[in-house]
Amino acid sequence: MIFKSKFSAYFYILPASLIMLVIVGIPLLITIGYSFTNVSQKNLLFDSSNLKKKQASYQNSASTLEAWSNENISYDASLKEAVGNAMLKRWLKKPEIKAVFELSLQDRQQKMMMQAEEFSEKAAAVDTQLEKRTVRFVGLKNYIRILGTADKTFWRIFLQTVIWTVVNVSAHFSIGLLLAICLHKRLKGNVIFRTLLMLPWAIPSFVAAFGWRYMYNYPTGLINNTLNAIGLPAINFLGDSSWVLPSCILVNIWVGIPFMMITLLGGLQSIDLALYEAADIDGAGAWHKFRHITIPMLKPVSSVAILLGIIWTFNMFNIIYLVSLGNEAIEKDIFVTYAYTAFRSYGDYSGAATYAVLILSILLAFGAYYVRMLPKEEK
Amino acid sequence: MNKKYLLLMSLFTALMLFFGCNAEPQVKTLKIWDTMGPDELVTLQSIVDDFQKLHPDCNIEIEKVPFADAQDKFELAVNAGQGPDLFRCEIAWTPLYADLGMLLPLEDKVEDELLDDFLAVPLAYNYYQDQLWGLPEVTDCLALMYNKKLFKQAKKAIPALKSPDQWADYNEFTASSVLLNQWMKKQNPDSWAMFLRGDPYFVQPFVWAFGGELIGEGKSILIDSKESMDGIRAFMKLKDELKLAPAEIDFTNDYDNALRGFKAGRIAMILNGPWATSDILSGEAFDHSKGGNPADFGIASFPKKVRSGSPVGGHNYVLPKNCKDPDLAMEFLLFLVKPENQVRFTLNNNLLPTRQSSYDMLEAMSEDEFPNKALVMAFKNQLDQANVRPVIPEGGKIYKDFTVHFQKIFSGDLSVEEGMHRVAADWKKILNED
Repeated sequence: MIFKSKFSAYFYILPASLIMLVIVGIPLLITIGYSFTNVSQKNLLFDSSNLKKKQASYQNSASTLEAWSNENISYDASLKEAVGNAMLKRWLKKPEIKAVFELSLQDRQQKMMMQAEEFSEKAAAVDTQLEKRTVRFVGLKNYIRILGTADKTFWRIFLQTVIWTVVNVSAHFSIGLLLAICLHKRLKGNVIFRTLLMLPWAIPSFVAAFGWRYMYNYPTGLINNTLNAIGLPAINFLGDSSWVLPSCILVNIWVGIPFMMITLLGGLQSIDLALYEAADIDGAGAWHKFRHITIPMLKPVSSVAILLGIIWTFNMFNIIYLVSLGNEAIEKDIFVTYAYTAFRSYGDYSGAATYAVLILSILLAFGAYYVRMLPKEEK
Repeated sequence: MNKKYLLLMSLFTALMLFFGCNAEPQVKTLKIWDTMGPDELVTLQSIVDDFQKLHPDCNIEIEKVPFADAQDKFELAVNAGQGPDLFRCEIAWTPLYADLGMLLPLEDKVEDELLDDFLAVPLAYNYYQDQLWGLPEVTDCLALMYNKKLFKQAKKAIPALKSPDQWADYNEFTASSVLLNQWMKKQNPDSWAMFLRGDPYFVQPFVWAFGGELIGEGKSILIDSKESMDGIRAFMKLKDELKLAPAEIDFTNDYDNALRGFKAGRIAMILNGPWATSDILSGEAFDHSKGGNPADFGIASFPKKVRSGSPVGGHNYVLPKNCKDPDLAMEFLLFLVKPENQVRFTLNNNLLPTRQSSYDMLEAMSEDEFPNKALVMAFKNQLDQANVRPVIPEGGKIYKDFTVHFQKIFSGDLSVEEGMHRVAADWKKILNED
């Protein structure tokens, strides 16, 4: 043995941890780094070579014009000389320019020098353009911009994200638990039920999202037709900004139940039946057994499942994005969808990175608090 | 024995590799990223085949890129030093990528005489900062689509009603629409004279008709000008006051809802572009096999207030900066935009070409050769009155902001005035970023 047993374990996980470090650590560090810069579509993707060529072309045009202004060059000769310089050629081809060459020497000198000056100014302006297009460190500017009180977008989205997460996870848990208990009883056709209840999880989320989108259609989707049939008014689920988020929540509840159900079912099946038998002997009722055996025994499984559920739901992008595609109301956004808008629609990469860092910090803080709240043996 | 065998094998492999590598540069390859739909790709492939017959030493690969992912893919690839040699670039993306330095300028690669043959509006989207960055392959614009049968039937009951080809101005449009709507409601309470979408692209004909503009010369913001707001108010009036269109719509499904209603004959007028014509002609109201009649499908220019107007869309082909063989890419591009090839897209896919000589060719064809001639020419007529949208790299951003606020106006959460002032304020920020 080269290594002591303690080290050999680390040695075995070394390749995996290196890969993890590369695929998780590096992008994370880059994102955190970006949040302190002014990086955007405008400067990150920017390639200055065209602009520099243009600057050279301006400078070349200016010096050629200066040379021309001193000699009595004909219009046709100038056209020939300008062949390599598209900018100059374009200027020459302007309808009013030909006449300049017929002017008296003094006048044309003046005209050409004016134009040469304009070209030089433009060449100089490129420098300021290039300066603006460089990625710079900006300190906490992005954080101040987003968290600052100027407009309350961040807090509004924060509230929506909290509502989204809390409603979803509590529905996932309560409905999932109910279904798990039903399935735990050994009934006939149990397997079929279990398979059916897994469907929302098995369907690709974009298929589910599009399906729901058509069911939500106003005024003639499946849901609205049903509402009309039982005498209720139709609801503009995806058009009315106050209904969009609730509609998306409903879809996500539907999608997320199977995970919770299966996890809790596993937990239920791991509870020792002897406990229930002992309780039976003591004469405990169904409610007492549920309250004092099932709930406490499920706690290790459920606390982890809830933590996972919260993290997943908090960062759930697909459902909101796909179900409400086309409705641009901010009332539907949670952090991830809002950060995506900043990234894709506004090219604000540093803003999106800042949102990503904020999301990570919120989840880390919450996760640490949650784990600390757990009883000792469950940590 | 064994060693000899091994030696032979390795020699053979080495030779294979040597020749394999050596043979490669003999064939010139051109990689195209294309965002076309499947039907259009068939036409493109046939043009590529023709090109390869003329140039047997070239290998042209078409890689299909879904339109929705094209921007992400293209930006990532080009930034990483890779990507295609030729890219089908939506007109609004062209100034953006030109601004980012991701494209090769085409100056000096295209003859002036050729440029003169392109229609001015689609070509305008290829110029950014006085330089040419691409060539328009296909163009489109919105036009007023209407159901001729409904107009004819209503006219029998109400002689005062005029059909879209007879409207002299915007007022006649509203007057006739009100009459049509009353008549349609009597037949079927679920029907509408028109359907108005919550996407601001579809309010632009109104803005232009009333003399408004989004962004003018020198990035001046005109969306909150009196004329622009009059256009938007007129749009709102159609649905809220005159009740010609559903007042509340589902913003995620409205495009499909408008199409479905029009195809079924429940909606008499919609605004849409040439890309939708094939689908519309398959609807119950227009398909022979479903009891409809294709002759009932009419297309007219948007009614005039001070002018008629329509936003122009379309696609350009551009050479990304990593293009490995710009000469070949250019040669293929010039082949692709030849009138006889543009016309193939029109005949097969109802797309609008971008060159005057293509239209001249189409004009010369008979109805038998070109069954959808009337439809395409109606779009050309609207195109001739169309407007250039602002050719700025921030096109995507300003559009996003416009949509957010326009949907609030549509739902009545914001007044036209308040909403447009907010749009203008946001645009000011976006346009003054650098």
